[in-house]
Amino acid sequence: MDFSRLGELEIEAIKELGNIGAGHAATSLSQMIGKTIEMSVPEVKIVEISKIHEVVDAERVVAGVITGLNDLENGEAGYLYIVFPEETTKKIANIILDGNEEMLESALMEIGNILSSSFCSATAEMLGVMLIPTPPNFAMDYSIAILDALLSQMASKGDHILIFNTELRDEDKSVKIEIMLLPSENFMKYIAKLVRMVE
Amino acid sequence: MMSELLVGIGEFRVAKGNFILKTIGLGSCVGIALYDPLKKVGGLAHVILPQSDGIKRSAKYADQAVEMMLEAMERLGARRRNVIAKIAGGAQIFKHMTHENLKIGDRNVEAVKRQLEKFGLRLVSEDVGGNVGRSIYFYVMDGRMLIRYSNGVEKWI
Repeated sequence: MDFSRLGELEIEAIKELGNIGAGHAATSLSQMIGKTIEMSVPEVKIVEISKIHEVVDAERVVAGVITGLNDLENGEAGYLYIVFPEETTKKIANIILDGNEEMLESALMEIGNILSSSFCSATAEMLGVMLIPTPPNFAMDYSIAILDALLSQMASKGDHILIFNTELRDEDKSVKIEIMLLPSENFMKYIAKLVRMVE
Repeated sequence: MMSELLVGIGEFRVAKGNFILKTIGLGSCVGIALYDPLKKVGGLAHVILPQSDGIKRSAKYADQAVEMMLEAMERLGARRRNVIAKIAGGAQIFKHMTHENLKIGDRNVEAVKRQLEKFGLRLVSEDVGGNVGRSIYFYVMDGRMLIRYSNGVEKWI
């Protein structure tokens, strides 16, 4: 899969699809923490893997949840990477756990799980495929170190990756959660199909 | 003036003299530093996968990065028989892991060590494994390597 050769239509389609997924995730988040959640304008970037440190805040220490998107027929279709900056994790501990940080990791993992499930089911519905998220993988580390295991899965297929990302935040911006979708070749097949249908 | 050169994921850089080669946020990836202490020529690679398909040449693979970097260092005047190695990385940073294929750190480390052996390069120090991400700074002037963990701890090897 050579992401550097994607056409504008495909990129727009991913943006739209991600938008819908993230919109559903925002609704779930809003229900969970009882706050209004808004979504930043989503971006789609095609990046050389060796330049990835230019597009993610590489050395920031974050809590990250990674889920794989499984297509029951064709296998892995990509990954979702959900990033909680440190300030947000504290805020979430306050809201959901009454400041009790002991349960913080499992709470974050569960939030990541719920956000990816909503993202996944919304996009799957639009694509007309069965897309099931795997159980979450959790780490607290350099943002780029969490990504690298995932990049290694994609690096064997090509030198570029595509990242869709958007930020969910509450009104006073004390909760900020970044959602990234890294589609794989299988996912791009659905996109191609979608684009053909539109044409 | 010491200049810093950043090595991206899957890349390598070589330098002679007053340089710091740096790579950030190694999780399961492995940083390989090679050094000719006599000629003050050094290289740093950030490998991401253990094994290539043997066709495409790329420093993202452990089995190719060592050879590619050695060749580049020789062009800067290094001698293969002087070259020593230091490695760091290959952590398993996921506390909860459901994906077996994310568990690639150990395999990366093993693959790197096999390559060093193959080229007869002596591994003088290493800091591998564990469950914390690392950034590394390799000082080409004297061959020291600083490791900065994501938890703030620093260590020289």
